[in-house]
Amino acid sequence: MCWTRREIMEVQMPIKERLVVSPVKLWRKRRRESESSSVPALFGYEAQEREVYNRLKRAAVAGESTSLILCGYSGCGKHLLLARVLERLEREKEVPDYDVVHLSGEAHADASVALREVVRQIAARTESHRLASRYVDDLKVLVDELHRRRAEESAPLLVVLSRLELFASEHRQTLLYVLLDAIQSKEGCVVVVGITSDRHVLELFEKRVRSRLHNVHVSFGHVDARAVLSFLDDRLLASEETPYAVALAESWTRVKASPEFARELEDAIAVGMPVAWHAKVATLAVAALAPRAPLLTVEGWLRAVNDNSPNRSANWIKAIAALKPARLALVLAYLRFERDDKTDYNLDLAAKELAKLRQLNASAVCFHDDVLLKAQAALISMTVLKLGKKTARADARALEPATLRYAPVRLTGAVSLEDLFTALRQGALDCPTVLRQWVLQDVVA
Amino acid sequence: MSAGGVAFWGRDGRLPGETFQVAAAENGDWLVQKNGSYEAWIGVGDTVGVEVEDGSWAAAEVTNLWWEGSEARCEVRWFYTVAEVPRQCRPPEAKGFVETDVMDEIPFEAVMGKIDVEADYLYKVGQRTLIAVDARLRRKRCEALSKKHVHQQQQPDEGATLLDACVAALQLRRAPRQLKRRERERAQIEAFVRESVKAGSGRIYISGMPGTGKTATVREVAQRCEDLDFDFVEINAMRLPRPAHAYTLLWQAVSGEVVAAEAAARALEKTYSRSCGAERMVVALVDELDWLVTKDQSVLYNLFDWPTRNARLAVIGVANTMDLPERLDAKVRSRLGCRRACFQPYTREDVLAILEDRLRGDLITCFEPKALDMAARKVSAYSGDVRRALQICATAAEYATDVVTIADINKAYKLLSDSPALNAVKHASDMERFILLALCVQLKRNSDDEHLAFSSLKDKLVAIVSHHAADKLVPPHTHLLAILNRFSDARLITLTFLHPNHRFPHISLNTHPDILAENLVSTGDPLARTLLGGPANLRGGGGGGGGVFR
Repeated sequence: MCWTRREIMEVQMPIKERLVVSPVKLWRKRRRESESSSVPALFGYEAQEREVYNRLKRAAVAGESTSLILCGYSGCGKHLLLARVLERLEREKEVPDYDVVHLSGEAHADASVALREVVRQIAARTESHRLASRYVDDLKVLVDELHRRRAEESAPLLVVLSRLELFASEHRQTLLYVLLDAIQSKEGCVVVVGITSDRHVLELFEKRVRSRLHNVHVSFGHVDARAVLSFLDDRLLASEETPYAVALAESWTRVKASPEFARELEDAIAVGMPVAWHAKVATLAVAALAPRAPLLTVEGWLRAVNDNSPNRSANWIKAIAALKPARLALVLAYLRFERDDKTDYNLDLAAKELAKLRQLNASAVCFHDDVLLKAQAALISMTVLKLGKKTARADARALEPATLRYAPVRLTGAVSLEDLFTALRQGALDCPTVLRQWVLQDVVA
Repeated sequence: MSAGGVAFWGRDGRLPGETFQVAAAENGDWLVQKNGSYEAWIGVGDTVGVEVEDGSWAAAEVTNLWWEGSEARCEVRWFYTVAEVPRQCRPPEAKGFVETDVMDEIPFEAVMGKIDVEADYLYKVGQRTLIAVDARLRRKRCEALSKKHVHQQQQPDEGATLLDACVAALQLRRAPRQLKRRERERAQIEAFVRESVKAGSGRIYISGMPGTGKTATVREVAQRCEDLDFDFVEINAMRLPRPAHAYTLLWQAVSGEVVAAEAAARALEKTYSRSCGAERMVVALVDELDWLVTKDQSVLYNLFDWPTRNARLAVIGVANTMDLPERLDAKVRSRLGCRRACFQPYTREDVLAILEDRLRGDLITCFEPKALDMAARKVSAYSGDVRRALQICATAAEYATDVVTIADINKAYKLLSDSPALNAVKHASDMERFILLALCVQLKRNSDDEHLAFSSLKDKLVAIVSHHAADKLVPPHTHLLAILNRFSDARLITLTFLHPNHRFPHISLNTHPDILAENLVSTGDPLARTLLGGPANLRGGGGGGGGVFR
């Protein structure tokens, strides 16, 4: 059946928007446009959502200050869950609305910068017409804002600290102290939500800061297969019932029913892949849909899984097989060193071995020194090789020839040597027979 | 009592030159009588016209009324007209009046009469910012700004249960006006403040663990000594981006000016070098004093040197370390003086008394007596930090259904003490669990070496899976690396390249292997029990908590 491009885009665009969502951008968009946009659902974390919802609702209704830490692996959905809870609270008429200030440990770990950002976000919200200019002024603006909230019995200011461990890694922890101290003061009216993947974040807190912390953690574990399937159904099944939407839903059902999909899903669950990983796979699968092939297929899904796992052995083997002859020859020379348990090798030794091979077998290709130097630099840039010593230059191509020649290197640890040998034996590396035999000689199967 | 003055009413600015009488009514409002005929009741919250010095009038909101001897006085919050707001701060749609944050005490005779004022903006004069506000909440803002208003504790909602009321009563910010179990320390500090104000100078160092009431007691004493003539300033070193910012705050208290740290230091030095010192006595509470220690200790030196010059400055230094003065240079130590106050950690009886004081009336019935005692015991045994006791009891009350029992207290204590690392172990996926087991077994075996080679881990992992979980697959190389990177990101382990020439990093645990083993066994995993043994085989131990920052 054929569908028009318009029909396809009308269904695919909302799916893509649901899949690629940044909760932080979602909050800012909602504030700017003052229209309610729905935060996508999260599955498998109902208990965590309940806990966060109850705590934030109690704090908003009672005007109480508190703090909360959301802790879980990267990509498990901590920010998304918080955005969902805030959206739920906004929909409840009897609960005062939170004003949210969002700080990131990567940009705002320094207290002065953080306070300036807090003041800027507060000012933007209250249509204030001039910003403070000094740290002491910024601090006064924050204190006054908390004081005003307490006086007006509005909801506390909600300060979200992403990458909490970076704030706690600051020597003086000034921002954390200011915010957590405000929790215990009579005039303070603030809820601090820290989001981190660091399971030992509390160790980083100075004792006075930790004393002021409400040590309530909401931990995010791994989701099970059922939760992942519910998540993917929610994202991929369109709400419209157009012919294309129905066909896409059916194709998704077929993909889900396939044994290959089940195997990949089981594998991902066993490894503990976070929800964001599954979302990325779905994004890649949908993005790869072409007008001529607009339905999901098992092959397309598996390709998306593969693309989302660039470090898989199969991808490395493919990349190494696609190397130019000089580069491939060097990789095989280094593989031979690894086979012999040599750990300190370099380009000079590899070049000498390749020269010896040429002497033994005239069919082996001869590589000029310049070609090998370029190949070595390229392999380091591609991270197939790692330099065995630190250098000042970030770009391998800028290294001096002498450095390139004599600097110790190792094959990257991202690829398994056993898998490389297996690929070589099976002929997957597509290299000349003489090289293959040279590497595999004396290999114990 | 009554007083007289010039009366005026209306918005058109005319001065009729009539006189008025003021009489106080029983309900607290005051009656303005003009020539016996005009009457207006003026109470707190009313907007009035006030005659100002140049004969014009200004709009204000009354926040307080009282008698000083025979003079009627009131506290007002001024309104500005939009024209008085600087042009760059003024939004085009604003008209009429704007609220301000400027409070003033004026004689009541300057009040001319009631007027109506509409204002949708608040102009913060000090910060030169104008913000849109809800006019319906004007009264509350007024109360917040008033120095004389006595803030009432927010009452719980009518629908709230007793347990909800307990949770509210146990909040950190609801500290009572007078702290319990600090009578001796309070008397000591009050004596110091009174002597210092009388003498014009003084230094004292207060030490104690976090949560023992040091800062709260000093604040309480400052309020009790309101009969003395001094200004109280709080400088918290942990709130400052640099120690030198302390000079800015102190100079602001002395002069009202906000200047850069270096300029403030020079101005303070000049002021305190004068024979008469500052104009007014200042008592400065310098909290978290140890954060002001710099390489040359100059900030501490100056703060404690100035009071020695008869400068009308007294400094109260507060920190956690008892022997901080002994760690400082001799010249700073000598200026700190010998006067010390030490706040000992709260004992079980102290914590219990504080909790019972918070849970007055019916609230105490929500807790079993043994439950409160258990909370007090746990906290006093560990840190004596009363904040922790309040948090445990509040959390227990949140989870309790009817009455808070010992089990609720234990649950709350565990919730607040457990490290998130324990949850990572509890909720580990299959492959993660195998890897953690392999790590634990290998590191316990090689107890001398805290680093484990990647190849050793992989070999052990293969052995565990093939012997004990033959139906499971050994994690492939890339999955193993992905899991290790995830553990490293979560700081469960640290990956270190011991030599740059190594292909793989070495792995070390960020917790003791015995603690990890205990956590693995406590999940109830039979494989963990097989490989690591039961609790009897585990060295160390204690509690089910992560314990990494006990």
